[in-house]
Amino acid sequence: MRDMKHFVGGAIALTMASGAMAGFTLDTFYDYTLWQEVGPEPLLDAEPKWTTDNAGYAMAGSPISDNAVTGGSGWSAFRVSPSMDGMLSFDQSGTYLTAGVGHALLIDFTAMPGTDGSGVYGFGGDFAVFAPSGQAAELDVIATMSDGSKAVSKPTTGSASTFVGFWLTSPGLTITQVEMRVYASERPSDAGDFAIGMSQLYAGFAGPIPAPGALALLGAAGLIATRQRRSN
Amino acid sequence: MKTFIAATAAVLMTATANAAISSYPTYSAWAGAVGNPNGNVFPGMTGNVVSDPMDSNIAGEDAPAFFGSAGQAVDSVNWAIRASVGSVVSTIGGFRTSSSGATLIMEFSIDVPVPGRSVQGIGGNFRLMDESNNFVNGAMRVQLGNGSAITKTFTASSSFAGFWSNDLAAPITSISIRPLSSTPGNYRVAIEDIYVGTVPSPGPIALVLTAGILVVRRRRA
Repeated sequence: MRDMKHFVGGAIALTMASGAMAGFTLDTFYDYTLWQEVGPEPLLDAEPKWTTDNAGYAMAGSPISDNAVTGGSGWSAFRVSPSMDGMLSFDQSGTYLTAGVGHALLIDFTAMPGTDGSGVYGFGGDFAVFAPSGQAAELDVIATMSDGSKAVSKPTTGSASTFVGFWLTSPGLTITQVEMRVYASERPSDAGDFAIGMSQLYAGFAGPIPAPGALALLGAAGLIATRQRRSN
Repeated sequence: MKTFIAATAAVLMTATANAAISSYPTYSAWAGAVGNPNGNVFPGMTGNVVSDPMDSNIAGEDAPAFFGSAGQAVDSVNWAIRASVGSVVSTIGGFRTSSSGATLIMEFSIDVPVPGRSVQGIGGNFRLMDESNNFVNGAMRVQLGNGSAITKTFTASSSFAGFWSNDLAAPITSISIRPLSSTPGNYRVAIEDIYVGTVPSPGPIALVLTAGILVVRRRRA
């Protein structure tokens, strides 16, 4: 029995050690207005203060080059591509960018995070599911972050489109990739028979506000540089 | 014994290598998540869901905390509910905070020690109530103890929010429901039903079974 006690103690230690591998802390949203208005609230409420911004991009009319769509600029630069063997195309209306039946859409944010921890902390999009015939289907979709965190979103009855979005609410990790695929919670074995489409992509920025001392330093450096140029 | 510990470590590491929270806006998606091949929440396993509709409440009772359980016997999960400010008031089929702006906090525990059984899923129906105890539509944040949250507009037709944690080493111990800063000042958060998902964890179960076999073998020897 004494052996058993040691054994159980060892197992608990192992469990706690492996549990320390934390994932993202995410706030999940199901409508765009709230996603935009609330933002990464816990980060914005904390000290030191953080700031946030967001940008939206319509997929309609985006040129497909090398089986990918690229867009955004600076912190919001993104690349949309299909999962392996998929083929990007537009739905019949030309609104939704799809990855093909049975494939996922991969959204990569390609800008390097700032050294101060700033970068892409928010992601959102409008998604729809299509049958091979091109007909929209009211099935739910699932978003998967690079750490394995997931969010399922279901279109409201009578609407083909559904919004799902996240904000990371702990500093340190930024969003680098989101995978979107059909979830079909009520008929999971059929999920592979449908294609996911994205009409709108939203990216959210968050980063610490530079301290007044750092701003003063930057300003002074700028003044000195300007004076030196003038004197030369 | 060394071989045994190494094998156990491998099992536990595999079980927790992809620690993550999954969020669900509908009961059907949440309840069907475990084993769903598209969701990857405990693939190949079966989850057990117990619920408490809180229908036996006597409306209007006011207390610092209320206690109850979802499920029965070995399936049961205990819950305790309190408010961050003020007290908790029982309603017809649920609970609300006595104070506007306060957060409802619900904590979970398991009495019956079934090896490896832990709370990995939580769901519920949540609403806002006005000062006359009428349900009103509005946005709230439903948050797990680890900070993961769902922020959405809760209405009569969309009152569910639920989570699964696929980390067997990090079970769900609490959930909090709070209004957003933009929520009207006279609204109070309320909970109507709670659903608790438990998952047997293969690591500890394998550990206990193997230990049992070892003990039996030693006795025979």
